[in-house]
Amino acid sequence: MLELSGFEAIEHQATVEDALLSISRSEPELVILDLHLGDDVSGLDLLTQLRTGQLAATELPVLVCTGDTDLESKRAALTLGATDFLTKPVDVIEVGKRVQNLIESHQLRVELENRVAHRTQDLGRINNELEIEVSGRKKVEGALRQTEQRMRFLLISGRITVYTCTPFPPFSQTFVSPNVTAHLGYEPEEFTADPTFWIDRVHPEDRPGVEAGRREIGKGERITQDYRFRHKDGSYCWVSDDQLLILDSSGNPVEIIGGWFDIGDRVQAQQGLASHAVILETANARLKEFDRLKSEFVATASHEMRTPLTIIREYASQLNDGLAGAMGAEQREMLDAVIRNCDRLRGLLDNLLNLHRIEAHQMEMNRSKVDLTKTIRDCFRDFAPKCRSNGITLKINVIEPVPPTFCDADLIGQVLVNLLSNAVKFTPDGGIITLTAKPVQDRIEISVEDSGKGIAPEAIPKIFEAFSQIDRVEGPGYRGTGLGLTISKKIVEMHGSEFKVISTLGRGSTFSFLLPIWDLDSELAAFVTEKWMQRNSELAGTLMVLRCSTEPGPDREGLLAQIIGRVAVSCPAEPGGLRLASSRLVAAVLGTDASTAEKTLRQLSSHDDLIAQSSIEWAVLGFEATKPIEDWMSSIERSFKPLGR
Amino acid sequence: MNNVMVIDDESIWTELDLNLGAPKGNRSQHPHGDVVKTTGRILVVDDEPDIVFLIKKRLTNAGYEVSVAMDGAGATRIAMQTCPDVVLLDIGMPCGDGHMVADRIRSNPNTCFTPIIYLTARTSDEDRERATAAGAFAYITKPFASDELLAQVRQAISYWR
Repeated sequence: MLELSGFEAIEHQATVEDALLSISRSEPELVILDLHLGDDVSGLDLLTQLRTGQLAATELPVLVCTGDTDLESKRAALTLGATDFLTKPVDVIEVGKRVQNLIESHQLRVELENRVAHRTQDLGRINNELEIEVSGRKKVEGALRQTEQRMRFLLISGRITVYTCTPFPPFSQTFVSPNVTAHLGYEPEEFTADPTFWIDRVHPEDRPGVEAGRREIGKGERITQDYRFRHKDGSYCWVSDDQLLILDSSGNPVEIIGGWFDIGDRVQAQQGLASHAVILETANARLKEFDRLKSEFVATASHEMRTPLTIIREYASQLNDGLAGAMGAEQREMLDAVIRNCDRLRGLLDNLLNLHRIEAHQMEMNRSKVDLTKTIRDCFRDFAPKCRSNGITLKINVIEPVPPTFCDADLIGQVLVNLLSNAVKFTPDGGIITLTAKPVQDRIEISVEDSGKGIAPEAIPKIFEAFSQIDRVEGPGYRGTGLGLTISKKIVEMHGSEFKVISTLGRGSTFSFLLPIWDLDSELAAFVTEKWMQRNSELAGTLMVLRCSTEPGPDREGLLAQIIGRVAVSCPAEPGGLRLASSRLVAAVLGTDASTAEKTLRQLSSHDDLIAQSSIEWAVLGFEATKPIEDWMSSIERSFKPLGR
Repeated sequence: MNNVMVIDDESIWTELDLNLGAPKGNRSQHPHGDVVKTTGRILVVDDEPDIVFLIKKRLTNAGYEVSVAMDGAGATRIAMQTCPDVVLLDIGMPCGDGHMVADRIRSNPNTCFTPIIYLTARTSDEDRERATAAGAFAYITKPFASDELLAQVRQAISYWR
């Protein structure tokens, strides 16, 4: 029967266990169960198993059939969970229909349960998401509340007045924070009620700038303006106005947000600083002028003193020489004293002049290659007699080899004379003075050491001050003007060094300083910057540097490039590479060897390009004996003339 | 002893004091051929009367013949008229300063070889350079020592002999 209706028939099973096994294996959609299946098998047991055992969850539809007519078994079956009941004998169509209905309703139920499960899952998930969102919202709210608290604090008691206004003139406020009252005296409503309230109270002088600046804000978006704003009490106070332009998503201006900050203190301080600066500048200018006037006065006065001094000295000298009659011994002694002191005065005048020149930067150094051993030997020769008569031993300590130095021979000579005079002045009978020259790293150290009274450490800086006398007791020998060390210090500083003084009271002192070792490049650089540029500050010229030395200097190209940069001229290295950029040509002849220089100069004079030059100025560097080359150059046909003469 | 010619500009000769500037009898040959019997004729130029006086006294005592001028114009005129052997020249003067006088003396063929000794209170480099450019024989600053002055005068006078 069942087969005909399209259902799968399940075989008879012998035991409950077998039946259960079979059911779980074949997974039927419906079980038709006869209550009386055999002696060992109770249909009701099977039903119970189906509903309580492992298969209970499937909720299999069970159609119980029995031939029993008693209500007990029916009731029992239904109680145990039978889905439906059929009494035998059964009608085929009825069974078929029943089975179909049962299966359909079971399927529907399963379907429904699935849907419900899904829906429940979805709802569960949505619920979770909502919970997360809610907790997120709560956090944001918390943060907002905090921000709001802060803002409220700032708006009411903070020092910046926050506002919003329209982004076009007259920039009327749409919101002003409550703390404006404390700052500017007005109520917020006064701003928002009157469209020109704000602009009317900007100081008239500052108004154009403020308006112009605000109009520009469209381009830069954020600006700060400082201006004066009228306080409610009528006075003007300085306000710093920070503004930000807010645009909408299409880039159109929506509003300006800004903040006003009172900068009255800052402005006052700035003005105070500015007026102080002016006071200081004025005072400084006056001091400089006084200094200059003093310097000029000293120079003029010392110049004016020379003529009267000349007359005094010469008449005393003539009297002393008997040109106005014979003089007695005592008279001659007096006149000697007059003459001596005239010489002292003259020395003072010369020193004052020197000092004035150095300080007014009028002193030009003439640096060249100098052989120090010669300078020192000259000093020795000049001071030996005086030392001998004072019982002092004078020693020379020249640690060979002493390379030539680059300095002004006259000025350094003056320094040595000054140091030696002082040494002689302060060294007693039996003492020793030592004059030393020795190479120290890349320079030459010169020192004068004496075994005299020494100088106290705190007095050392003072001895270089003008007119200081280390002691006022009349010692043996010439009493100085008090300017010698001052001038020597300046000379040493002009050479890029400084004095080092080591002294022990009662034992002696050593004065030393450093001088640079001569090299061609330094001389060239000094020549260009000091001599050539001084005389050519306004004109550009062509500096032609002739390299006569046979050894290539490693850094010479670099140095020449530097000089080119500074002097803005073209500077070829070889005579053949001339670039004559202008009508003036200056040739600086370098060399270590005079004959090579001469050869190069001859080449130069026959160079075709140079024939077009009307005048060439030249200078000779790096040679100690410059006279022959100068003479030769003056004699050749092209009009070579020495630079600066 | 009286006809010694010195052809040397080293100062050592005067230090040895050979009495080359002796008052009498030195034969001297003026460039233009005149033979004069005095030791030399000197033109002293200075605008200070005291200075002029004392230099004149010193030089006269040393045996020289001294003429004076006290401004630039006078100095130029007298130099042209008398062609002195040496000119002692101050710089700061009215009516033409020493530099102008030197230029005039140099540009006149009669006097262009005359040695000029500058005797001035001016100490600046510019004045010195200008003097050198005009071919100064010496540049002495005031106050001066009379020995130095006399030595320079002696050398200047004997320069052309």
